[in-house]
Amino acid sequence: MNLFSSFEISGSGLSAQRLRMDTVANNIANVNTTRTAEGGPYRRLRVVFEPRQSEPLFLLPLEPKERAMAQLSQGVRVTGVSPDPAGAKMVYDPGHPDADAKGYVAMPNINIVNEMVDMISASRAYEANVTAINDAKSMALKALEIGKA
Amino acid sequence: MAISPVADAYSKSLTAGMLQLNEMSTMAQAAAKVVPGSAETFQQFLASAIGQTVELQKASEKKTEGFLSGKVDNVHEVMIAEEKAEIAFQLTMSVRNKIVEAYQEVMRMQI
Amino acid sequence: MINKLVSNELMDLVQKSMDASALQHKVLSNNLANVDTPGFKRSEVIFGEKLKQAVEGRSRSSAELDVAKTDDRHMGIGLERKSLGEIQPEVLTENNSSLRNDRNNVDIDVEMSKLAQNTVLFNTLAQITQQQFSQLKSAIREGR
Repeated sequence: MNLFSSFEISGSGLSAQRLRMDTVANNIANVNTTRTAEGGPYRRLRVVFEPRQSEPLFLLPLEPKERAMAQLSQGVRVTGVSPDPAGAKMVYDPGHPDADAKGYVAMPNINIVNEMVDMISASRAYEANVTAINDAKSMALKALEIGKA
Repeated sequence: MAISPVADAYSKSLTAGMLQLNEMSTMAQAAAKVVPGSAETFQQFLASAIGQTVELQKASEKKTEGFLSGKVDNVHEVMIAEEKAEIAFQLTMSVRNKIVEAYQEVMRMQI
Repeated sequence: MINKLVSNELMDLVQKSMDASALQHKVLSNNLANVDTPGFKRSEVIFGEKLKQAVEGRSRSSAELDVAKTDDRHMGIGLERKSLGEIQPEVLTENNSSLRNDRNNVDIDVEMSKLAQNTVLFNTLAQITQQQFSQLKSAIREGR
């Protein structure tokens, strides 16, 4: 269960990084959003990843080595998209329709520089997974050439 | 680097291949030796060769089946099994052709 | 006889190395997929080292002394004398290092270079297998 499952593993990495990229894009798009359906400013969202484990069935009778092989995770899984708990940025702007009595507006807790860094990191990780898929493909094609002998 | 032992191993494999060929030729010589009363040696030899070919074919089929059902995930395993079966088949086939050729040669002999 | 022809020790070893290499690719892909997973620890397949040890152990004279291992957890001192057929690839997880604050220890550059190395190794092994088979076939076709 190797070469083909590595396609799936890299594929899970691709979708995870794409979701991260989408979330970053959403955060950047909403950098000035001051009202949401839940009330208050937009809160920065971030994705949480966890290793996708293979089913832990029948692990006990296995030898330690085999167990290590079986417990090896099978790619990455997005646990959820959770809002950043950091407080809103208060900006003094008395003319803003959402300003409070003292003239402060609650702005989203988004730091655009952080988002850009996150975006580059997601993009690099995406590229790495693409390379892994391409390598798996070239390996599979090379293995097929054994039949051309 | 893991490649240098591979290169080393490959050069060894060349000599191993030569040895194999030698082994084959001695086997053929042994098989051709007609001992009176024990004419079955060559027959047995051929039967076992065919049996092994069939076994390899079956192994290859099993691998292909496993590949289709997702049990075998490596392309190279399937290809190697297939290739082994094909080589065995070709060898048996060319031995058979040679035998038929020899038989016909004998039949055409003017007495 | 035919079995001997198509599966000698070397070919079995090359095929086993290919299995290990495919597994290594899967493990490295998994490391890459989890490059941003908090608390993830990288794994790797140990095969080449074991193979080297077995090859070296085979060529060594038996007069040399080995340190006995009475428990699986003992570290081997000196080389183990294992036959080449016994070597199995093993997945090892690096649990005791951290590269970043989130306790993840995947270094993307290291993984990428290992991935490239592994791909070249696999392609080399596939090439060797192909050449072995084509050699046999050409012998069967009497060089035609």
